[in-house]
Amino acid sequence: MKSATVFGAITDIFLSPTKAFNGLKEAKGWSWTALAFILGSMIVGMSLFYGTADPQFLIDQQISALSPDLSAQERDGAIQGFEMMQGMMQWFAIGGGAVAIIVYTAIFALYFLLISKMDPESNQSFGDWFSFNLWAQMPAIFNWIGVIILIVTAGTDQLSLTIFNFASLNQLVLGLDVHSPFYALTENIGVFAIWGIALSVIGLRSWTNFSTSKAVIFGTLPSVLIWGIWFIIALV
Amino acid sequence: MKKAIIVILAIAVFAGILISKRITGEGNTVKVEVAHPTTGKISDSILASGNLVFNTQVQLRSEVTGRVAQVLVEEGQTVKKGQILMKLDTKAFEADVERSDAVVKASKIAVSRAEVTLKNLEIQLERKKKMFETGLTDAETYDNLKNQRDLARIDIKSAKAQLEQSKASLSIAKDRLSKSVFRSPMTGLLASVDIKEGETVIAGTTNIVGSDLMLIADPSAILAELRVDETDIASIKLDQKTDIFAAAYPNKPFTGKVINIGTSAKVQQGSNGLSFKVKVLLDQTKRHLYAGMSCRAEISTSTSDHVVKLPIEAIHQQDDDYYVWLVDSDNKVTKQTVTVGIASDIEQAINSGLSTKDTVVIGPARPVSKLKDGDTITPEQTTAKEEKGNAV
Repeated sequence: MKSATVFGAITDIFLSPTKAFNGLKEAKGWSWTALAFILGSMIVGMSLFYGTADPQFLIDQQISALSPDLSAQERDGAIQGFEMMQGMMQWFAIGGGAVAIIVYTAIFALYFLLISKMDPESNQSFGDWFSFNLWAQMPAIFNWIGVIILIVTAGTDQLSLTIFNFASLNQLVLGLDVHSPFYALTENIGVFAIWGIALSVIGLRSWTNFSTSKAVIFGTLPSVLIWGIWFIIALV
Repeated sequence: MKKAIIVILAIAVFAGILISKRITGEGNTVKVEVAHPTTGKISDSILASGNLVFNTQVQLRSEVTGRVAQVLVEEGQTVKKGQILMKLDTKAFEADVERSDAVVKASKIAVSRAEVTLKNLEIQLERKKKMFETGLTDAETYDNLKNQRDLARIDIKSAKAQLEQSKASLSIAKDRLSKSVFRSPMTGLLASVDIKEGETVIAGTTNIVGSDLMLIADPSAILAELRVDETDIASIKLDQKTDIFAAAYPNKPFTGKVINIGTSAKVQQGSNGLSFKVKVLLDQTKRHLYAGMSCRAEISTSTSDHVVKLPIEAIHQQDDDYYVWLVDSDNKVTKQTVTVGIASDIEQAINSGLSTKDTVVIGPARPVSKLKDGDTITPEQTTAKEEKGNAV
């Protein structure tokens, strides 16, 4: 079974991922739709956030997140930098976000291209795996929908920058302080990231002849590796 | 069916997360500082900065160039008029006097010599004249001798002029010798001694200012030399009361009066703005003040007694109208238009629109800037701001 149209695939990627990946295997052009959805939701979410949030409050948050070990001179320099960037913050966030998505997808595409060589029947190109990873990131759209709902329903314009990670391990379970060494890591691990990893595993099963256990190992390996190294660095 | 349950559950979890994360703000009430207007004196003032200087001060500079042999005083010492302050090495000046003296003596000798020569020639000429009259000598010899006598007379005049010249040189040399000893031109305090033994002082010339040696000042009267911006200068008048805040006493101002207003604008250092020099004579004080100290000043251009006043941050402006946020008994705020009077740098007089029984929002600026008519606030009473003392 496979998705017949790109719009069918958008529903299937959340409800019947295997169908979506089966369809994607033969319809390479669908990747543009996924990219448009991911980037579009990010741009809407970011624009709404920076258009609503109190700029001074954003600066204050960045200042309070500065390391307490900084010297007064370094601190003043950083504060000056924040104030200078104030007007450009939105564009840096959107531009940086878009570049990060593309770079992240490209790295993962390269990784999947390499591991797919272990399957003699796999003949997907780098572009195919790039498309594969974009579709695996589709749960991020729900993250942005959540962000938009939170901004629209907020009773104040003093919005926290942590709103983007509202479904993270830290915000849902741990509640660590911004100065905690594990703060950044646990803010990065979230419901939608894990959902994305799960989609990668399912997609690998669909696109390769890997066994389920192999697909789980190869699908989770990059994220486990990144978070593992991050954890060790935070620990040290 | 199973899938539908999973989807419904996922939507419920998603909605649950969003509800738990909903940003409500701080209970829709804003914490702000409030205060009652007070009555009292307020002065409209102009701010300026500058430095303190002594009212009477003399900068000692050298008229001769030479090496310092002795400095007999120290900075901060009180000196009397005529007291020797320092001496230069006089060896060169004394030698110059001796040389000039020798030249004077030589010139006197030259005059005497010329006089003797003239006398001798006159005797010879008398003798030749008699011989010429008796025909014993020719006219040419007689005329030559007469000519020599005339030249001898000129030589005397020349030698006398030379003598006068050498006497003048001697006088200059003596003057230079006397100027190698520096005496205090007035009784006062040595505000600064900028020279040390062994250093060389340079005499001032047309284009070069000579070395600063010492500053002698009368410490009983101190002036504040202020730089007043050109936009404010029209409001400055003689005798205006001024509070001077020296850097050493930032909270206890000195009082004084404007005694002089500059007549030409000068470019301020480090900016393109023009400023006028305004001098303020400080009232007598027991506190120690030193010349060169930096200071800021509030020059009172007008004063009102017993006016209703508020901290300046409580007053907001919309177009040409001024307003404050009035707090009612239910802690709801309403915009109240007021007419304002004079202002100091921290307070504003309110001519109408408020009484001392009203409660007014003071700050902080960010939450206050977002207030709307009818908003409920959580008031925090401010402690009365300390009145500025005028300690002398």
